[in-house]
Amino acid sequence: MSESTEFKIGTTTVKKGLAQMLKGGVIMDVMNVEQAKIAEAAGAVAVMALERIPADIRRDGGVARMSDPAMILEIKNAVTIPVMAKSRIGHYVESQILEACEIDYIDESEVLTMADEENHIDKNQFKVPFVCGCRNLGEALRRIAEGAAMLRTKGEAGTGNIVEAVRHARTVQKEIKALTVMSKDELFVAAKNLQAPYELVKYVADNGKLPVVNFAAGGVATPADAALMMQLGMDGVFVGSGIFKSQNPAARAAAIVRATTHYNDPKVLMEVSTGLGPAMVGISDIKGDPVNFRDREGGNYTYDGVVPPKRDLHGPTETQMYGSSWNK
Amino acid sequence: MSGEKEIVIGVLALQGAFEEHQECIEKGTGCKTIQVKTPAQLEGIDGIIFPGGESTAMGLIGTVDGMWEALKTFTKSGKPVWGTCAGMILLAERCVGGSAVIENGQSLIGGLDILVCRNYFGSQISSFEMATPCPPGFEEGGSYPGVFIRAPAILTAGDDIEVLGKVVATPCRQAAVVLRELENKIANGENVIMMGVVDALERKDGLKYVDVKRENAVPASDGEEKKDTSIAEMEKIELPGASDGTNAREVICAARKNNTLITAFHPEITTDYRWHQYFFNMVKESLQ
Repeated sequence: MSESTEFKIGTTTVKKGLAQMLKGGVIMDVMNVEQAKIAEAAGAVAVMALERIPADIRRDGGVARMSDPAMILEIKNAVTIPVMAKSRIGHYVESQILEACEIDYIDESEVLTMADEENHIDKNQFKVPFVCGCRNLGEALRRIAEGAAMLRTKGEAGTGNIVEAVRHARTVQKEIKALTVMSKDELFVAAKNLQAPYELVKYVADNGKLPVVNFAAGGVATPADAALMMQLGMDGVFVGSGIFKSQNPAARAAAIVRATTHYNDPKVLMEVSTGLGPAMVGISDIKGDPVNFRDREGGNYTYDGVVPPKRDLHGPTETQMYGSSWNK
Repeated sequence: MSGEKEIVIGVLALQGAFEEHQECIEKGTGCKTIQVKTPAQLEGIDGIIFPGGESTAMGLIGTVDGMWEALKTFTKSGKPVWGTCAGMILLAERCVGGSAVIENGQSLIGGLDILVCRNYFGSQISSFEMATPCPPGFEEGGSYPGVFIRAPAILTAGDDIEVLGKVVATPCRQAAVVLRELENKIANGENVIMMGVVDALERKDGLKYVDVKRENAVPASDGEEKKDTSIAEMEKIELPGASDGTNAREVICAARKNNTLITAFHPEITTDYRWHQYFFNMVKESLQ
């Protein structure tokens, strides 16, 4: 029994393992220590520390970057649940800084401004695990090949509109199902069409599931939204703007947590949906909105929309740093 | 119970890696499993597993609708219970390093006379894999691949608890602060049942983040011989409010008392089913 005293950190098992421990739980975006405490007390399994929640990034425009490490460390010290933080796509130095902060998970996020329109971060180089967004199976497997240990749907963050998250969840599942009924010789072309490594395509075909945990994200605003995503087969839920853009964040947070656990029990869902006060207002016309987070992916990203105007800042965001010099 | 009845093992499914446990039990033993989310689902199961996950979240989700009381009754009934990681915390009588935010910190089901420290080893960057002792009677195959993820550790255990595995490791910064506070309290004659984390930053003036390139080392042996882990290395860790550098300690990572089994690591995310087989045997024996 005393053969080995060696230990290994940052292994794939350990990286994927934390995501497995978060399953069936809710991860909440928080902007300060107070919100982090509300999230922990409501039963969140982790918090995502960021300076501006996606709804504000949509509205205010400007370059969205990694948060100030001081703020991340403050939150890390205030709560005992895992703390995640976002790094720009392709900005591996931001990720190095987050790793030095001993953050529990890094989100290479499309919600922040892209730092590299060609390449994603080589996430295999890090000891800290990464979560990445995906719209379809090909994108999911490309991120896993780069070293992502957890996935989430991209949805469309900051809209309070679940439609894109549903689309992405269903697309991934449909494509997984399609692989499981293919004959072996079809998988090579399937890999070509998916633009994903053959080995991962083979794994999905053999196992009928992704090799990592997949959460719902991008547009969850109500307990019913969370339960819908769980019934669609997601492993857990990220809630960004939905909680702290609503009227009663603490109650809504706790309700979404319960709805995620009892997602198959309409009676509980009715109970927790009752009397929560107004949800976030949200955006119904996602296709007409000038901001499009979901299509940001290294290698095939072209921006042909209109650059959103930078608006007047007000409230607590006024004091924060913005990099944009866009005029109105 | 008649021997005719099919054995069913329940897995607490409030949150965490419950599907993984089900898969391990089903693949490793062929036993039937069900997910347990409500008190009614406790009826008719012959044993229960409390999975890994976030113990604070489970404590908050579980303490409504009489679920917690039902779980307490179940664990007292003498039917086999196994807690891994977060599930182990739930089974402890005493817990330090709980959330400082939530009133009453960590909700515990209790039942085992142990003192656990949450996140003893540190945050995700200090999560590790290490060879640990295999379950008794399953020596074939050698040591067991222990996966410790933001894992808790058992600091002290009652005399009647059978220790099945130990690790020697340095506590993380935050845990070191908690332990020092704990020792002060014990020295003052307090009987500590529960203690939240101490905000290390609040204790110092402002934001001093020292030594980010801390050795993530979790120097360890597996308990046969207690090694005095490198004190010199630990002195490099300038913990805000850390003790004098003698805080590498021997902690328990697996134990059993009667029909209650606990492991600080996660057998559910390995493909080595020996701990699941060991627990299945406990369930079988309890029915005889």
